[in-house]
Amino acid sequence: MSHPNRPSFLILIVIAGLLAACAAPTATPAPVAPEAAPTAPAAAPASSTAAPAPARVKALRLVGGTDWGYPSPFGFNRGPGYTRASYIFDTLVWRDRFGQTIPWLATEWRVSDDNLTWTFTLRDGVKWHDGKPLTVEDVVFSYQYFAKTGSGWFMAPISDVASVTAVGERQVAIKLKRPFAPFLTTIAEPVFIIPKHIWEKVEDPKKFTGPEAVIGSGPYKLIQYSKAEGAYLYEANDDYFLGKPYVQRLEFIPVGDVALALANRQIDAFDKFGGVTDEMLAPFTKAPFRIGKAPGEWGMNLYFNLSAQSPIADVRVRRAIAHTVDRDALVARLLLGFGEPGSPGGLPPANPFYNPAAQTVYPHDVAQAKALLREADYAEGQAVTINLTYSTSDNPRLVEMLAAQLAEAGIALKPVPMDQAALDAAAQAGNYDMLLVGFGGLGGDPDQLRRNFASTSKTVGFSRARGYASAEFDKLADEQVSLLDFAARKAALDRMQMILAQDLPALPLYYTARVVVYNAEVFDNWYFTPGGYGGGIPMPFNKHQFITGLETGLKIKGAQ
Amino acid sequence: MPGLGILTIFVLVALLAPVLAPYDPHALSGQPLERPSAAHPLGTNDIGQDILSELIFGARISLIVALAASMGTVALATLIGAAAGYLGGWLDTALMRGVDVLLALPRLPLLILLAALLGAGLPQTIAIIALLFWPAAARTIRAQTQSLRRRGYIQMARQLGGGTGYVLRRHIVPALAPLLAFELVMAAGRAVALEAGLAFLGIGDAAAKSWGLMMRFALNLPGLLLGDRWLWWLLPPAACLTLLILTLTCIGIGLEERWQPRLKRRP
Repeated sequence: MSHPNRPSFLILIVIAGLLAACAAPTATPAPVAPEAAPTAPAAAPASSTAAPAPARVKALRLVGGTDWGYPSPFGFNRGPGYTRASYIFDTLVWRDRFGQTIPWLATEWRVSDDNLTWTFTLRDGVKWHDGKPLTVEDVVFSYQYFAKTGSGWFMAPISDVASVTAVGERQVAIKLKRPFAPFLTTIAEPVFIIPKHIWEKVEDPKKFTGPEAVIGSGPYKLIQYSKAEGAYLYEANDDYFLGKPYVQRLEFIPVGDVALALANRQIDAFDKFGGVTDEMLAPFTKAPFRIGKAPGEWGMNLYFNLSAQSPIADVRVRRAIAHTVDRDALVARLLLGFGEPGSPGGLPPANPFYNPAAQTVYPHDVAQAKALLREADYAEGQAVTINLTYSTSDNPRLVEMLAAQLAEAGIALKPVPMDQAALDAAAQAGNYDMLLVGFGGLGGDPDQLRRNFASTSKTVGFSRARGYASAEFDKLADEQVSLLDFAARKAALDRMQMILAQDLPALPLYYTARVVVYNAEVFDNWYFTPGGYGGGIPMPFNKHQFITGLETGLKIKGAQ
Repeated sequence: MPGLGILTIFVLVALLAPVLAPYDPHALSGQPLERPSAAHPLGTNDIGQDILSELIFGARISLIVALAASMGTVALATLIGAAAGYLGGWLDTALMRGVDVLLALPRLPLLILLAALLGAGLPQTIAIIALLFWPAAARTIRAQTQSLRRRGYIQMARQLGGGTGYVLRRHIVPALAPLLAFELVMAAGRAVALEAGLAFLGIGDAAAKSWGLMMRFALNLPGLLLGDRWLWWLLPPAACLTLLILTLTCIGIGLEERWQPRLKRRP
């Protein structure tokens, strides 16, 4: 006699919980056929240095659950997607624990006296996953293919490459259009070398997603990818040119609460950007757990579309916003103090080119903001309403706090929520008035300021500013890229940061400090790469650590 | 009924929220993640809002949704169920086949689709719930209407010239009242759960102060269940939700006994 629908709300809550586990890192862990827990090397206490070198790590289980695209050289999204592709594809040079450029597919390189031609010597005996040899032809083809087809990730720097030619059997000469200070870190390091025999037939690389699209020369092979679950499974390429990788299997699996999952040994590490407290880390302060921290190289920014018809086209309104937004309060409440306030100059304190003078241009001062708005012909009490586009996968508290802060100066926000992919597309197309967009790479080469803000920049992507043009900035931006002397380049970049702070094409809100928490019994060589790997990715997933088990060099831990 | 007593307390808390709550639930009245103290009996949340105040104001959202969504559900269900049951014929067939189709559709994907189309906000949430729940109630109401229609006094009223509108208004709906009350209360319970579920999934206004959202933000804190913080952040909204849904269900069961006297336990 019971009503047919009575139990439905219980079922709904259960389904809701399961769904939440897939949709966002919140609740119940969804099991995705992880391997049996890797057997920890029982004989090796963490503190003992005399203990025998442990065998290779059988499997490392990491936090998945978000889809970053197919890990082909053209299918991935953003830094995490690049990371997932970097396990399959190699580059000419790479970066170690200390941020130093190290040989990779190239064993050595030299630059001509006019700083225009870089000649790389290719490593002998490197093979693609399908057994064919990797040759200089592949390198030449890769650079030409990326230049021709374009990829948001590589497009800007590669446009400064004039030509790429083979020199004999083992050498490649890359000729630049102008001396390019960050050539090694922003071009040679991130550009994947792809197999010519596969890609020369491919017309639309973004749509090429078969098993052939993930044949690389890298340390790992893709075993499984699930778009719906955001799961990526890799197995070591035992024919790798450096030897058998130290970590034999990488698994990015969906989990609920990452801290709970690590405590329960369902995963072997998690990382977090901002929003971390001592209380949260307390369960991980004793063995076998360890904690590594690094300053912020990922930032949340408020972009202003200067080509849109809205109040923010007026620089006084933008300055009023900069005076109203209390960036210290955002750090204290949204990041729980684990981070730093954004600098209107556009570079974070962790960047060697950071100009601290740009940081202090807009102290929190609502009265000053109101005065600026009056100057811009907005009468006292007159509401200024501005559209704000934001991603639903970012912290919703950010919009809540921004709205409350800006209301103090009489500025009202009209929120326009989007999912991350739609937001990145809108940002790239310039379909917004104000935009909240977060990205990393801020610790990397400061040429990013030219790429994102110079009107002469050819960069396309979600970090590119809209409608901003400053003749002085453009001139300095184009000069600094060819300045090979650090002090001279720093002087130009100091000025560029001040111009950005004055003109405010974007207001950086905060930089998230970073933490990686891990089970050292499974793998103890976690690190953050200063300046990021692959051209600036700030995550603790540098493949170098998984391949070698060490902090630098190309030797593999425990190998004879 | 004790259920009514508990429900009255919830209603009073919702009505008197501005008086009872120590702070504006949106105000940053403390530091983030404060532990319970005299100033903040349930501590503060991740950005420093008072959790007790959130909890008290959360009753408003749950009850507004319960009231509005259940009335919407029952109004739609009565309109369609009574019309189909009383008029019969092709209209009945068409309407009931429509109900079958709607009942056969999987609910959660439909819900997420509707939420994506209609956007975030309390009115949208209420509309979605009403749109989703009316078919089941409509079917019960139709069956009851059909049986009423065959009763002697209704037949008599019709033969004496009572029009469709008159008979429905004057005789059918009053006779349906116990059933409608039951459907109303059951729909209210389901609406409360569904609103919480939607908020928990992040569908809806993220700045609203609802119990589902409180739970979502609490569970967003890594390692919440490793410490004791869940005791004052996660448990209270979960307990309030459970109690409210349980209360509404108990009241519903009580009403069902009135509507179907044969359910009553014989002495």
